[in-house]
Amino acid sequence: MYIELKSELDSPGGKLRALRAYATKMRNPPVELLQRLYCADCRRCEAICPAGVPVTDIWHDAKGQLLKTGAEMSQPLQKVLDWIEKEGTPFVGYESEDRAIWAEDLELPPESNTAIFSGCMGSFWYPDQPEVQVDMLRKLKVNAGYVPSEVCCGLFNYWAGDDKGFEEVVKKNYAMFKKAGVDHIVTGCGGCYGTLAEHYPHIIPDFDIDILHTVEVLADMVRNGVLTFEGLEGRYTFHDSCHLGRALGIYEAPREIIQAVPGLELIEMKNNRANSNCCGGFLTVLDPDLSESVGRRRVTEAEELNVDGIITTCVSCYKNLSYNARDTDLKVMQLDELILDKARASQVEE
Amino acid sequence: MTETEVENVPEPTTTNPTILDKLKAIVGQDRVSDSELERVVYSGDPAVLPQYHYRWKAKYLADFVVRVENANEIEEVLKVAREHKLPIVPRGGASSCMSSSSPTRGGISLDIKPMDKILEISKGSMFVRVEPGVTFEKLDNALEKQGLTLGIYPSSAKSAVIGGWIACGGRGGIGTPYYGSLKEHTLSLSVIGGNGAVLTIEGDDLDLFLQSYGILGIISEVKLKVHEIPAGYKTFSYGFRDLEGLCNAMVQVSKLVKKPIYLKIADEELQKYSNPLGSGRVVLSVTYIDSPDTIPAEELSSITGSNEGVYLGDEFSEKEWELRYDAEFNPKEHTETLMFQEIWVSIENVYEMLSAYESYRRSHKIPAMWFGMLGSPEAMRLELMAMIDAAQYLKFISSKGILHKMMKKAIKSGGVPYTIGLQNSIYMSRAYPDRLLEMQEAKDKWDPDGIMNPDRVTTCMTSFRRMDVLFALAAAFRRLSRYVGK
Repeated sequence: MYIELKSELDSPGGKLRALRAYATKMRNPPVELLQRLYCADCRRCEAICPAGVPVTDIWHDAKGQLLKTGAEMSQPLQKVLDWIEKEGTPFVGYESEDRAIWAEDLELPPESNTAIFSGCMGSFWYPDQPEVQVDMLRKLKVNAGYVPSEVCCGLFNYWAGDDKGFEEVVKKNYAMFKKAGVDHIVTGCGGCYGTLAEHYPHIIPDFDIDILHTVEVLADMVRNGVLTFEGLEGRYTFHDSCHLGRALGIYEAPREIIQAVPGLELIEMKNNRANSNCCGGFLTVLDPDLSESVGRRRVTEAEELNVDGIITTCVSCYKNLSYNARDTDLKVMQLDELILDKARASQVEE
Repeated sequence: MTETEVENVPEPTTTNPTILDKLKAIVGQDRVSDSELERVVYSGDPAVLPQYHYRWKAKYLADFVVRVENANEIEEVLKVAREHKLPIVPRGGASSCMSSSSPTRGGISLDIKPMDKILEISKGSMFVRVEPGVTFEKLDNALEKQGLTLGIYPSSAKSAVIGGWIACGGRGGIGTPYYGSLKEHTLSLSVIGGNGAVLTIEGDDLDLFLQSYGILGIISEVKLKVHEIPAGYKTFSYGFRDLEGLCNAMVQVSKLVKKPIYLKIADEELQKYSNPLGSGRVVLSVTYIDSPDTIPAEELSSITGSNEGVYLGDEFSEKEWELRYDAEFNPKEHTETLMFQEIWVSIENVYEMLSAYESYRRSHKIPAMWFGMLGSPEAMRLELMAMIDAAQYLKFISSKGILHKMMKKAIKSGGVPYTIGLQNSIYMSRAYPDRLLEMQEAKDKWDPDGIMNPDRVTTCMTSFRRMDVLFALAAAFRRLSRYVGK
């Protein structure tokens, strides 16, 4: 954010200085301090910080503290949180009854020890994503179910510092999973995956559900020769999603899948893996213009490689990158889409 | 926020609408602020000296924050400052850790980071012309596309900007033992003096602005020498059982005709937090441009072998190079306050200095560690550190006392403080007597109103004598505390 906004108020060092000042020698932190703590949640500053300052945790705790001591959430963010409470999704205007439309024709059992967590992006915006998960799991002879009463994973509540709202969402989802007999959850969303795997155990101390991301399952299938692909000629680069990459350290699995596609040449961007730049997707909630600038910057990095397109694992990254690549020759592709196109027609060993 | 002691917080500055309006007229509404939050953010740096430390500062918060985008804006802001007798505190990456860009009397925190354009790259004449706020990452990316490199970087390159490094001197860094210091790379500087003079300076005149800490004026443009990118780098790391072996080897390696790009020494404690070794050894890591013509392979083997050094393997060595910007900051993750003092010392005196510090480590039981980076073939930037909690005042001040003793010892044997900033200005008359006179004269000429970054380099709010007594008492107390209460 600093690179775009050029104010130290938006730099990690500046925010830390302010927090230190108001936590020690100064009184009455201004309202603006809370607003400045909302960032892209990309963790790049954390990854490159030589002093290892855990800024993500610091921002989260500070937001919670500021809210408890009287700071007010911005109106747009409060509206999103209210909608999550009402409809179980941060996408204002979308209703909970539409969440399971993607699964209607798939005859998924509502009770199963392995459940697909389609997330809000997959449920409302990109239904291909959970569909491909179902398809792949079936190839593996896993009869995955879907619990239609799932609600948002709570990522927005957590990010906003809304500890109470987050706890409610976690408990609601956990109770639903346990009722359905779930002991494994597979999701294709990096944000949901990170929230379920990283933060749920803090609320439910005896959290006993294994969380898997689709790419881990698919990479395993590739490694075992269960999943093979038709060829795709072209030079593509891969954009690491912040939630899957820096937050959870999953860098190699998607690359293994991509490199298993005959004819597809993977060209790395200079800033890759832990040094990857954010696509700005998360910033759409805060500032669409800023989100666009950050997204364009990442698209430019890919353009400089003279590649045919960008592959990503995250629907939010896909959305922002494809929007910002609209005036370029780059094709932005989700990894799921690639698999859907190329693996279904390939020689999957049933 | 947590409930804590609240004391000595200066009264909020009364906003002077006239000044604010004038500044807004120059840079626009979005790039000037008098909000408390913004003034807090722009008044500090990573220095362990608390920002509210009144012995060094009369008013630690800036009154205004201004972000400038071009030289004209700087000129106009300086006019307003002169008119209202407001201090100007130039601000780059604020990464020097010596309060180089922290206000001491309020005034305007002048952020030059938005001036980050790369104006010209000439491969034919091998130079680059940039604005002072350009980051090393941005500069390197642009040069790399043309097969060029600046070649030299401060260890704080991840957050520093080029103008800030020039103002701090740029004597030692990654690349300087091979390519030469920043002074040898600076072809010209465009500057705007505190008196409003706008000049482009070259040659010997550059000396005034290098290591001037913004007390004379603001750098608005920089022309630097560049190099072709080398094919690659090769690092060799050795572990030594004792300090003497390490220092002997370091001196001999530094004096070889084939110069390293990077040479680092560190104790086991620092390595533990950076690239752990776990064998009770002190470490020498040395990096060369990867070519048979530039690596003194036989000499390295002979020198390290005769000093009982053991090669630590390719993997360890490569990681040392990867961590070149991080190594000295890595311990920060494991302590509340990483306090340090940086000393520029001849390579022959490194052993004496480190032996003394090791002795203090034992006698005063301070959680010490050290790190050294070769800056030139003759001198090293030695960083003496202590892992403490600044909130525990006695421990904090007594550890600072040890570092003060070390500085005095260094000065006696020809060493000097590496960074001056605010805190080390008390050593100017002892460490840099000629430079002090030169800078006082220059200050009178370039900044007769005394608005430019006051209270450092040529003057200081506190005195050497005062600090000397305070630190002596604190260090004595620390030593005494080993016996009291047993």
